[in-house]
Amino acid sequence: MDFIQTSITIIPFLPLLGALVLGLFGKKIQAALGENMTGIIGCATPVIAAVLAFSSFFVLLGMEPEQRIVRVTMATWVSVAEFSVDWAFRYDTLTSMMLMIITGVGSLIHIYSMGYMHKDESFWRFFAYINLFLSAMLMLVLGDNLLIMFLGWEGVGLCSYLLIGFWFSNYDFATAGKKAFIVNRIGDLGFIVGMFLLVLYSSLNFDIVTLSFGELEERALTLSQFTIWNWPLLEVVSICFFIGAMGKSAQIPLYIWLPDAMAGPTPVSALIHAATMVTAGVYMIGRMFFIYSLAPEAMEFIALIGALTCFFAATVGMAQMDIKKVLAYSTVSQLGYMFLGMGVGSFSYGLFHLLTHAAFKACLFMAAGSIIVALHHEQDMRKMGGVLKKMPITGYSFIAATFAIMGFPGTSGFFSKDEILEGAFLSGHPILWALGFVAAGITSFYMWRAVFMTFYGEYRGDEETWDHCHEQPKRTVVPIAILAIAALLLGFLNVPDYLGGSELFSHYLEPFVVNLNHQANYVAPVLTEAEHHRHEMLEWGLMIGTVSWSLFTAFLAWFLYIKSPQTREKIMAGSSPQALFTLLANKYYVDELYDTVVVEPLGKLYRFLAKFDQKVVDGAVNGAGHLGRIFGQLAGLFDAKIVDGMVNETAWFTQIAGRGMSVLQSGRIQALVGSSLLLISGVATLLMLYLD
Amino acid sequence: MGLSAYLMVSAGLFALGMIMFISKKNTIGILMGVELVLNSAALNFMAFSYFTPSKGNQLDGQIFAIFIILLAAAEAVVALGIAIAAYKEYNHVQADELISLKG
Amino acid sequence: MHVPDLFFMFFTIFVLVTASIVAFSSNMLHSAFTLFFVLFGMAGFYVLLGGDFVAMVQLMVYAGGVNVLLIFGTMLTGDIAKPEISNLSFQGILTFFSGVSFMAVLLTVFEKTEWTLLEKGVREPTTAELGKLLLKDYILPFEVISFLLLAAMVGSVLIVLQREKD
Repeated sequence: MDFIQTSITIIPFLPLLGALVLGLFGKKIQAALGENMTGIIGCATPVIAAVLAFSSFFVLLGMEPEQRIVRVTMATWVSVAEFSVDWAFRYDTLTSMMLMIITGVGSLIHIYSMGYMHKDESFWRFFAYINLFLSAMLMLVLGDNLLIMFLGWEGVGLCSYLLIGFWFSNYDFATAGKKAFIVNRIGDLGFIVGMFLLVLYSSLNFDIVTLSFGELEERALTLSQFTIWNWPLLEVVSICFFIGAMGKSAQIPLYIWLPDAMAGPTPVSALIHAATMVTAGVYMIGRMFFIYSLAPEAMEFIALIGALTCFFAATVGMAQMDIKKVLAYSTVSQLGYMFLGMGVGSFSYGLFHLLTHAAFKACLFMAAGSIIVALHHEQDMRKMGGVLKKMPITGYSFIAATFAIMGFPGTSGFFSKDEILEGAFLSGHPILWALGFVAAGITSFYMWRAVFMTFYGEYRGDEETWDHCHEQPKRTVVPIAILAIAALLLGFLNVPDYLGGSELFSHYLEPFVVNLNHQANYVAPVLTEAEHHRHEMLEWGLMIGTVSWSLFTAFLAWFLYIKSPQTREKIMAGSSPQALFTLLANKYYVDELYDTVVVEPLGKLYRFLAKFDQKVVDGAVNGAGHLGRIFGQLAGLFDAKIVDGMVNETAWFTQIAGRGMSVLQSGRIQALVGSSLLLISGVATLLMLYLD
Repeated sequence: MGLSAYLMVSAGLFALGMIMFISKKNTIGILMGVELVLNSAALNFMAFSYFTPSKGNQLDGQIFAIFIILLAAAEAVVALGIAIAAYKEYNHVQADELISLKG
Repeated sequence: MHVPDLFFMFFTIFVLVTASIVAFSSNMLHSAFTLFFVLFGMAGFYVLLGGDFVAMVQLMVYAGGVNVLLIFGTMLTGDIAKPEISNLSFQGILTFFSGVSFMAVLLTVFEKTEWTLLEKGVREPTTAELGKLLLKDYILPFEVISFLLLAAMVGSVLIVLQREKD
């Protein structure tokens, strides 16, 4: 208890300390002590934080399941009338899981970055930023109330912007950072509005509003009785918060920033844009599941958006040539899975997919980064091939993670994705399941396509690069290998019932994140023996269907890219496949659509406003100037004749009066005293006369 | 003799002092007028101290008389210093001609 | 008529006559010397009013110190050979009106006010009591006025010295 309180107080501030030290003195440290020392300072904070996070987790495991929650209140932040928000952290099972992901994956990526960012002149700046990011992210998941969460939410957005535009001298990179920031901002507005609504309606009914999650959970039922313009309050609030999640977690229609965010250094893509920050939206929904549970329509909306995102991003991923872009769309797609899981009420499965995804996607990104560095910053898969021979550890790690993401039985992705798809199937909307199911196959296809294009076949780049290509140093490959092992094994934490498991993970989260079908007011259908049997059969059927469909597409990828590229070329020669490919390669022209629908009209509006400003406003100003001049001349005349006359008269009068009065100013003090004496006598006489 | 008798004497003294103060041309004469005025005030304090009950000590008035005497001494010192300085500057101490304050 | 009343009437006449001489004499030196008698008469009043110590202070500080200072001042600054020039009066009308009217006001106020009077004033030695008062209740004013005196002395010396430098 005490240990947990101490460690969760320390954990978010450790990286902040690192960020401060490196941000303020990093340049000098790097100049004086060298790159290694800078990197060690940068890595020490997340590693210590990870040690604390893992030991806290084991302390938490030793407690009774119902009591696995620790709160720390450090200070009062805002206190205005009934609105009173504390600086408070909350540590429960959900937080412990997020903390372990963030600090664990974070530490590995920090260590990996020491290799990746080697010889970058802004080495120290990178570590300062990424430490700051870690601090903000920890703040986000530790916050006991919405405001602290929002603080972290904004903090990670800022750091994401800083890190995407890390090489800001490149105009495109800087623009990508700006895009991420602006799109995130649109989402944040939703978050803020949702928060305001909660404050408003809470303050109407309760004496005090602290916005803490515990308080919200108690009040959720009361709040659900309100409506805004005939909309149930909680539906509106849920949608508002989900808009925030759309921005942060890259869902349709606000996903467009994530692929561009690959402009940042690869460790950043791995940590921020795969493992942690983009999952903040999922975490937020998990944290506030009690509100979402009371908003069924919002849940359906989330599930639909998730499924659509999942499907569309996966299809785009099939046609990308840049290895990081493939992984980026894959991330968007996997986030879609998570939201699909959240939306159908399988909160713990969504969160479980978050966990497994953090492992395999971070591994994929880091492996990709390792290859990119080895191939002299070549990201185009068409110029790769056969790399497995040169970089076996990286290669096999990548392949292991690919097995995980395709959902090969036994790997982590298999368990998490399977549960989500089952939830979607049972939600009563088969279309959700269908989208997810198709996307699972496509995922398998584009991931294997990437593997085959990168690691197998003949090398397609130039000779010199090939000769220099070699396995990366230990500090780079060891984290990759660790994550690859995690990606393979993490799934066993949550083996479903029908496979003979006990869903450890879901039960661990249970006291604080309750799936819809485990909640008190859920009426479970009474199953007969036969129906129960059929249900189990269905689960097996779904699983086998998904797995075989994924294996089939994997085989297809092998056939088209390794066995007979001629077939692929023959197919691609046809006009309609080519058109389809172009459409996908251009990401359904969504960026262009945004340009036409949003950016261009805005630009036109600005140009129009500029014209308007030039012609009308400036004209008006000039006209006003002319008028002013004429008026000024009139006023000048008036001034010269009348005002000056008056002024002169006044001066003359003052002079006369002054001459008269100056007689009194004889400079003789005695005269003054005499006159004042007379005056005093006069006043005293008057007073006496009137007072009697 | 009662309080009002003393007060009338002091009023007379005050008037004489004021007359000196206003009409004398010589600065030292003005100073003498001030001394008369101060004496009349001190006499008032003494008289009130003797004839009327005091909330504090009965001798408070006498204390004030002592302070007045001391103030008069200080004032005389400074005023004479100024008079002598003025004499050195202008070779006279005629108040009606020391009028550099004239507007 | 009691003896003190007789003394009072004597001092009244004495003080007013000598003060008039001070006020209206045309010889500055005469004024300065007559002032001594005025101050002496005042000391008499103080004795009548039970202020034995104050009367002594009056004689020693005023008559013995200040008055001597004034006489010196007169002698140093005035042309004693021409008394008529040294002690002329002016602003007669203003003086008359302001003096008379103010005295009238004072007298009216004194007459009209209803004073709370003691049954009978006390005449007994006051020195010890005054000493205690000055060093207890009035210690701060006492110190301040001591400092003021010092400052006045230093200041007057300074004024005169500066002029000599020029």
